[in-house]
Amino acid sequence: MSAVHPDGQVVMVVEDELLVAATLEAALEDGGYHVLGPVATVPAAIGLLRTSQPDMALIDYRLATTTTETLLPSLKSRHIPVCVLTGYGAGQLPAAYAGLTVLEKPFRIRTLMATLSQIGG
Amino acid sequence: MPTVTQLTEELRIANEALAAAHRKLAEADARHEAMIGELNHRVRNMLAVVSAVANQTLAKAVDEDVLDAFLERLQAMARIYKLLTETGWSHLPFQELVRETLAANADPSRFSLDGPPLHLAPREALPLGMVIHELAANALKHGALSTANGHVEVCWENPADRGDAIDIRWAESGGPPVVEPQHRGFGMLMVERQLTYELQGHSTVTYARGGLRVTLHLPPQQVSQEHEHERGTSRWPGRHGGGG
Repeated sequence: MSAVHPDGQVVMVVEDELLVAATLEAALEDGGYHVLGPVATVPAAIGLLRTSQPDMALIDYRLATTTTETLLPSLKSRHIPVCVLTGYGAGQLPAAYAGLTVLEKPFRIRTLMATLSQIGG
Repeated sequence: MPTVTQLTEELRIANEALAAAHRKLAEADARHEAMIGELNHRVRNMLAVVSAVANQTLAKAVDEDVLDAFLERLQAMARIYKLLTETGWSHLPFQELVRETLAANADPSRFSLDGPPLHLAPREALPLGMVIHELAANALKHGALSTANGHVEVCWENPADRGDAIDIRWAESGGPPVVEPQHRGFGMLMVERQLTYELQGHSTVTYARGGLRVTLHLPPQQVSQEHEHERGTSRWPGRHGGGG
């Protein structure tokens, strides 16, 4: 569906809404990525990171009643590039998210793909 | 006659009451702000879910053009909600609205905006923002933004002797020769009807050969003079003495 050739890079998806998660999964696979997850919680994401090293992480900011802030240190220590999805404005995210690539919801799939190919190198 | 001690005590009590009231007000303000943030988040999250449902349900069933037009309308709505939230749901600078809408569709060198500061009420921002979106989408598909060098010019002003009415002119140039379509698409139908239907305004669309021309007009706000000062916002903040 896009001109990028991500050569099977692995993207971890952390998103708590199944419809959005499933759409991301389908779009990523169409675009040539492998999907790790999707998972809906931080503990599940940390569980995945124990056994896998994704090339990138696509994470929602808000998950049910909490946020992905507690996941950020695990991603940082493993040097995994992160793209944050949020329904809040990029400027409204906590300081821990500073410097991360942010995609404001709703976003177009093609915008997501362009963003991933940028952060994935 | 009260002693100094009594007076000091009374002052202290009054001062505490004032501080407590002030705290309460600040808490209410903070709650209000948090709720607006939450509402914005939920609205946009919901639009993301609707986009996802549409992608899943329609991607293989309808033309890509059709799905694109639908998803871009959702994006435009989300953008307007975002701008409204950023301004605390009070007033939305028209220039920002037009700039963001056009920037989502074209390089900044392809359009120019000109007009004095104009603030829209939330109930005006959504319909007017959607009209601008439809014009931009139409220009991208058929008009000045469909070619390499076409240009869109948007100007607005407060017409003389018309209260705080709004006149907006959209003018395209450098695109392919314009031919009046036999059949109006949904987008241009929105452009022609939305302002009349929702805001008692009107739109005029002229299919000039050199480029599409559209005028959008909104009548003066229906606010009685005595309440004018309580609104705190006027459409034309740069104008002294108001337009009423």
